[in-house]
Amino acid sequence: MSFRKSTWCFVLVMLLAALPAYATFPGKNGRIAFVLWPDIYTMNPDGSDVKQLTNLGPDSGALWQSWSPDGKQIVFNEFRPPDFLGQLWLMNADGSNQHVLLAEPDFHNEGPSFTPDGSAVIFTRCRLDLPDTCALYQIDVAGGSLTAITNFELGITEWRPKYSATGSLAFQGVALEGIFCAIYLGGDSPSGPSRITPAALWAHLPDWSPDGRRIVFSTHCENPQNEEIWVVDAGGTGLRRLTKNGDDYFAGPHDFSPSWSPQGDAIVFERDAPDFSSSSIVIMKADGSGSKNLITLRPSARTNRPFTNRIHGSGSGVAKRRLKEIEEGGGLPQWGVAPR
Amino acid sequence: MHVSRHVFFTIGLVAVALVLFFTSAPASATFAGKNGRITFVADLSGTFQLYTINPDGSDLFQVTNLPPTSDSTWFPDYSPDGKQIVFSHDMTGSLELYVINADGTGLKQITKIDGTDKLFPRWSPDGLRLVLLRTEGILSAISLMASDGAGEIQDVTRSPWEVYQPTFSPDGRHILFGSQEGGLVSAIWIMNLHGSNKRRLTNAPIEAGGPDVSPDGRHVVFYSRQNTPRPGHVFVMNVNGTGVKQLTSEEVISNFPTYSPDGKKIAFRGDSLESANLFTMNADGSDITKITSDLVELENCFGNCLISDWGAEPVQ
Repeated sequence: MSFRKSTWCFVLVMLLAALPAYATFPGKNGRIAFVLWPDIYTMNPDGSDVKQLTNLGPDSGALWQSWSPDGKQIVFNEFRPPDFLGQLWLMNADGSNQHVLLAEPDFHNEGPSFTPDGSAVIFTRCRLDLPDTCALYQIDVAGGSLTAITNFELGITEWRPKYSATGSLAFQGVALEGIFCAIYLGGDSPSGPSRITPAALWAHLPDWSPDGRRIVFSTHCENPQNEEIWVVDAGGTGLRRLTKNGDDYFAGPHDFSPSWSPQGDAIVFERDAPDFSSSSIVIMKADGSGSKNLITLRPSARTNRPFTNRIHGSGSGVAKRRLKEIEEGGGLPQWGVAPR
Repeated sequence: MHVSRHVFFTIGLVAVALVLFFTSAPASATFAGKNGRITFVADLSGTFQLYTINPDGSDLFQVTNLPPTSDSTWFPDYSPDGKQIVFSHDMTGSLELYVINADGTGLKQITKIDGTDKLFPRWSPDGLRLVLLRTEGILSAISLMASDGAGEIQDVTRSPWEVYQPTFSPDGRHILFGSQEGGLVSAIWIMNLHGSNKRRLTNAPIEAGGPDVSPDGRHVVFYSRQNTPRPGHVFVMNVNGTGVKQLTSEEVISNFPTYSPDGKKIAFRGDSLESANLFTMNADGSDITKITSDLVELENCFGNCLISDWGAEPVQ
């Protein structure tokens, strides 16, 4: 009996060792990358040892960083004058070897993340000749070749694509089905992407659990009503609220951009003060309990950014302007695998 | 017209009851009357101003000569008697409501500066009240106020999501409006005058906004985004949300429709590749006619430029 058990353990260990090292995907918990506009930083999961990786200010900025599956690289956005079009950049986890992956004069590219095998980066590619028209594309890291994952459709935007360790694709659809924003699975399959969050949650910024079974996301991409962190099973069931911030917009905190730990035991996210006077990075257990502040960052700063959110009939864009400030402030944590 | 249509299909006591009901309703069909002029806002001389024009495109008249503004959110609306126009303007630094006589005289600010923006005013059928949108910080409120500016503004709804273009039903008992409630890009809703019994009339994929109710109270004309970055086509539906039908074709991008006071025509903004113009058509979508020629260059007609309202011919 004892012999059989140890044999199975050995086989299991060998199987796991043979698997590729996946990204925010399974692995040992590594460092957390975050943004303090205009630069990207990393820190230990306990908030210690903060390191600045980019040094772009005051005219340029970096955003939407994401770890490679082996935890050794970070892909991110740079916005540079004069046009501030989103460019895709790569760097090592220590900030060295920063170089362009994709910069196009006739497209705005944003929100990159790696494929599970680390060979490609999926991102949102926006046309400049048609407003609010952005599709998902993939670029081969070694060769630079582009592949369309979804098609351009006038007025439709697909944001923040994230692959699971098992190769499933989640993204945030904007204006798909006439719904402001929601989380969808799948790309351009014949049946089309399937929505897994209800319209009334205004879901955005999805991230997979390391086992590929669940998706954590933040609510209220627009028209904020105390943004919270929620989780849903990949099949669209098991919808559950992890943070509860009340109904009074200026009395409760505002939570954004959750990222699962590679070990699956915790979730890190951005929490802004009720009055947006500060922005913090907070960690909690995967069930939403035991939240703990890791670092408090200075308030958001307004910056030039070429792509604003959709403008609607009323001309009253106050809420949208507020969101813009938040996005450009400190936060947007992404948890990486500890490199071997 | 509303009354006679019902009488034709009704007999006996029911007919009598209907006649009594409709004739006793307060000035039903908000802007019912003989077709008068169309008012709109456009930048025709370097700054946005208020204009009126005949429905055949003749006799363009500049109503206002106000300080330059880059804000096209005036949303002008003719009073039911066709003699005045209410609109919003940011000359004080915030969007406030103003009333002006249709001949350009008697400009009067009717809202107080209180840290909120007031926009999208629409007259009630009896001319005594206005429904409007008031924004304060992240909140949007559909509100009611006296049309002479007396008293306080009363909020009917307050929400953190966007609502826009509220308008009275012709019987004055309901408010229709566009809203992002429920996470939709845009839908048309209806509620009772004081905010109760709120319900959505259009489905999510239609992306509907800018409702205007026909003078007989039976139909709603609106624009639909339909996955376009700006309103794309004019649609009509029954006032209960059924019978949705597209009126304008793919040939011209069209939006901001408004019924004529006799209910037989619809005016709307139409965009070609280079210019935006005013169009009219029959209420069933036939006989689309461009009544202006290269009125505004498209690049100068952003936002709510060329939102129009078709007024009744003033009764002397």
